[in-house]
Amino acid sequence: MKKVNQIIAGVLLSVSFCSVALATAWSVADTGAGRVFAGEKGLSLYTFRKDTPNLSNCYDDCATAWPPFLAKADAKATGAWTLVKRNDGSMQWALKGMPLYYWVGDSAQGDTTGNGVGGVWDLARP
Amino acid sequence: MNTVIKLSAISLIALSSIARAAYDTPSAATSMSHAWKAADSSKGKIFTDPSGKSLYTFKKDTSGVSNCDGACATAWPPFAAKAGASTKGAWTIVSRKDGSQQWALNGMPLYYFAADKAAGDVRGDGIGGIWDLARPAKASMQTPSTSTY
Repeated sequence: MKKVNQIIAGVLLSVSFCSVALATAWSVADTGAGRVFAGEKGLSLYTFRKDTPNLSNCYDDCATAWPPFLAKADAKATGAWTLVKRNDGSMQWALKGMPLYYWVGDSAQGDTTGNGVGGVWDLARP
Repeated sequence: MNTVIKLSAISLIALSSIARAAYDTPSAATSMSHAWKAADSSKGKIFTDPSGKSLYTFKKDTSGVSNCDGACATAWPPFAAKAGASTKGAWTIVSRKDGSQQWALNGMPLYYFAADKAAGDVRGDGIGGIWDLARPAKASMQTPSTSTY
């Protein structure tokens, strides 16, 4: 019985360890516009063609319409996912150097209404 | 000789502007279709363009002046007035910083929202607490029929 308990405890431990280790700030979501990367609440993420690698050029009015996908204080870069510092000191997630944003026109998972806006906004895709 | 050429050039320009004015006025007046219409939406009666796309006003604008340019105008494209469009009642035309013309309702410039794709979409309403659907007030509802012409 003690051994069974130990095994159960071990399994529970490894499960919780895995979920902590695998938790990312983003996810992959299927949408009407294809497979995209999503942030909190499954909201679609976008890149901005006027940005340059590791530098956001979207502030003020732009950031009101396209809120940056901000990273938590303890977030760490992993693979193609890096962190870019904004003018106000906050850290923004970037994919392959391109800062990532939400779009105020999207309100639910699967919404992709920002895709192609102004010819300068694109869905972030895996 | 130079003076004669200059004078004729000036009179030619003057004549052509008179001719253009005479030509433009009747064509604008004969066009009876409006650039806008009232439509029912899930958020009540609103103003849209002829294709049914919702129109919005911006609380940071002031009467007759748009304060939405650059990135703002990418997200909220101005509801442009065609060359030769004539104002009517509460519907006026304001000049944008880039020189283009934009429709305004009761002095407030009108915009689309880039997230609205189809007639009936009203995704921009209330965004940031500063964007509102353009709605027919009782007074402006009557505007199209109370033409001064």
